[in-house]
Amino acid sequence: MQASFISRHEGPGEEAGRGTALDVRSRMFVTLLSSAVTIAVSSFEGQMVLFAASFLYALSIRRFRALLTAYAALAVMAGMAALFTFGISSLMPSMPFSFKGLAVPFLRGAVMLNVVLPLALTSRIQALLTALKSLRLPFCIYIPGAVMIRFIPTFMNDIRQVAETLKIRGYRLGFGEMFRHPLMMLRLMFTPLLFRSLRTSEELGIAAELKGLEAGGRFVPFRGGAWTRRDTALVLLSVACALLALYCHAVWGGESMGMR
Amino acid sequence: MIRFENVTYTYPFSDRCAVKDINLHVRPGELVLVSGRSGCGKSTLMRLADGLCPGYFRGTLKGRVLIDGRDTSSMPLRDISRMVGTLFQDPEQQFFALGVEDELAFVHEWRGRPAEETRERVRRAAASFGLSPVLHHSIHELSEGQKQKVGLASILSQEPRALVLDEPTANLDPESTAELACRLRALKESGMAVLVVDHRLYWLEGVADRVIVMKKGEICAMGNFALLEDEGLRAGCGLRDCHVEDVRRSLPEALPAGENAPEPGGKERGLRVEGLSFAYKGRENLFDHACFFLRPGVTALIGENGTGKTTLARLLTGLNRAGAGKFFIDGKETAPGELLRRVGIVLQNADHQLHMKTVTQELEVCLELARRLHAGKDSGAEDAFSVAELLDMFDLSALAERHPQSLSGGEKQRLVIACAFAKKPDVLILDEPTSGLDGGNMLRMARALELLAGRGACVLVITHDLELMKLSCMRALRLPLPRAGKAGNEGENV
Repeated sequence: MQASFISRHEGPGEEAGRGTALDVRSRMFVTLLSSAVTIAVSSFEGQMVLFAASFLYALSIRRFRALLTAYAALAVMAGMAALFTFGISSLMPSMPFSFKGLAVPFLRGAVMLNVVLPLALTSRIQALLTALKSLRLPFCIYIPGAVMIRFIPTFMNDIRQVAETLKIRGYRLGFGEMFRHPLMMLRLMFTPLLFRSLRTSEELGIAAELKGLEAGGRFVPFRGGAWTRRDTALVLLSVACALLALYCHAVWGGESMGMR
Repeated sequence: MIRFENVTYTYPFSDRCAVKDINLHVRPGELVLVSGRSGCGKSTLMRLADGLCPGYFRGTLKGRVLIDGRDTSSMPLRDISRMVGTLFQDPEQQFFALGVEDELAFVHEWRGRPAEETRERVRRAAASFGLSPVLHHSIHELSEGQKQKVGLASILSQEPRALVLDEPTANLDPESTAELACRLRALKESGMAVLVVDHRLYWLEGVADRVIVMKKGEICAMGNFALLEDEGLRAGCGLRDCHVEDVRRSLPEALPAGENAPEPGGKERGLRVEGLSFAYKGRENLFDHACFFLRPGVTALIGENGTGKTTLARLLTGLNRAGAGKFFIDGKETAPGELLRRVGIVLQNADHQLHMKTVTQELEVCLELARRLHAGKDSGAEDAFSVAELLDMFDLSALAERHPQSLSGGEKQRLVIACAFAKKPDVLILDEPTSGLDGGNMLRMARALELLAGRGACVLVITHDLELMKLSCMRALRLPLPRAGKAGNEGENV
């Protein structure tokens, strides 16, 4: 009955399949750089540059369904935020509704989604651990970091199964129900997810203990990553995009609701 | 090898001992089977042996647990894990990597072994368990039997001196169970100390050297396998049968659709499927114009792993859409989108299915949803189960005010099945409803299924549990399903 977003054949050297014959270190670099720049840049134009570039990057892994699911969740949040902001601005004219101002925080979220999803869905946990280790990060940082990445596909699978279960029970799922019974819908979705997450994290914790991961001893990867020209190109392109976004920010300035 | 000396253990925030005054010695070359009612302390015993109690779960330990003469309370978990390998009921729980090869290599990489040695160990482990063809597969693609092999191969590649297995057969088909028994016999003969905690007993006949029966945290009986012949002991301690007949071949075949004839003067009752075709994208047809008919009663859905048991269940509920095919419930054609109104399904993972604050509320909500579903129908509301009936039927009355997510695995399983009963479906499909249930609860489940069937429902059970099959299944639907027109004799010979 189990299924997951990571369910494809992932042979050695293929580095988790289609469209991603990239070293995990280059993908980690893109993620870290994007996180830093998307926080620094608060202009709409700069964020659009980051969003466009990161979106193309996300499409390159060809996991369209996963991407669509993540974007649907983001769209729901954006829609609700827009609705409430519009309501507030109608009641308080001193806080006018600004599309660009509202768009920037969600573009930040979208950029992060675009770079984290490819990392999570196409990386072998081993490659991530190896890369994290090579960064000489403290043990207490790289293990939780790796566990978080390992957790993403399981969590997405849990969401799918919970939604399916509600359908089986006879609940009507949809925007209408969500607005009519928001607390009930939150309970229905989040109670099982919360408990599943706690349980999964405990299971992974036990698994880590039983495999002696607390040792923090010498780690020797049995298969090394291979840095290729494509990785260099990806790093250069991401740096160029980051510079372009920063340039836009310098030229047009920030408009993200005072979060300059 | 594993020795318990006057061990009493209490979990944190609990005022009740999980196990009490345990004295036990598992010697090298010996296999000890531990069984007992759910909640009797079996799993705690296992956690004490592998150091998780108190190493991970904390709590208070009195007495000593010794591994190869060393007190576990003074050993870090990493050292214990090198000496004692642990295999969980669901091996996926302990997979840290997402690919088979990575999982097999994981521990060796972390132990700093040279890359060449790790590769060699992975190769040997894969070869000895027949995992070479799936070495580069994702763990999610594997069958339960294969997952267990990966778990066991990973543990044995570390060359532990003792092995602890927690309900290893709960998700295995009888063939994989027999294979596991052979492997354990070989490990035992190689000098390994093996501690098995399980509800299913029959598979270890001739393999287990000693049997320990636990009750309320204490050892209440110990002896050789013949001890389990005592019916009084089995009934008193919630044990399953120690000899189980394989009824898979003797169960009569569910009628092919074409052979269905309504009872004289009556209308057709049951689920009829005609011309069912389905294929996953880019793969061969799993079902090709298949036809069958499920009459009211309990039918076992039998087939090897990968033959599409779960897929068939999903098709019958409309969760997956068939490429072609017609569904008739009580003679009326039902569109795939409408199937869920008449067909219930209980999936294996109970955690995903519990939402409310108490067990009673969970059942009340299900009954309310069922009332809405049956509104306007001729039948339904008048013969629906009540909350009290459901609580009683599944022995949940004492837990009525508990939070559903705080229940044990077996209790959650019973609750989600009770919720499915509340819907009063015309067809109910259950996926492994008795995995991990003790003898008493397995009997309770069998009776509940018979009761629902007695009310005219078609109950389709996906199960590897031979005891459940013998107790409650009247017929079998065997996969792979034959094509229409070939259904008659071929179906019976599968």
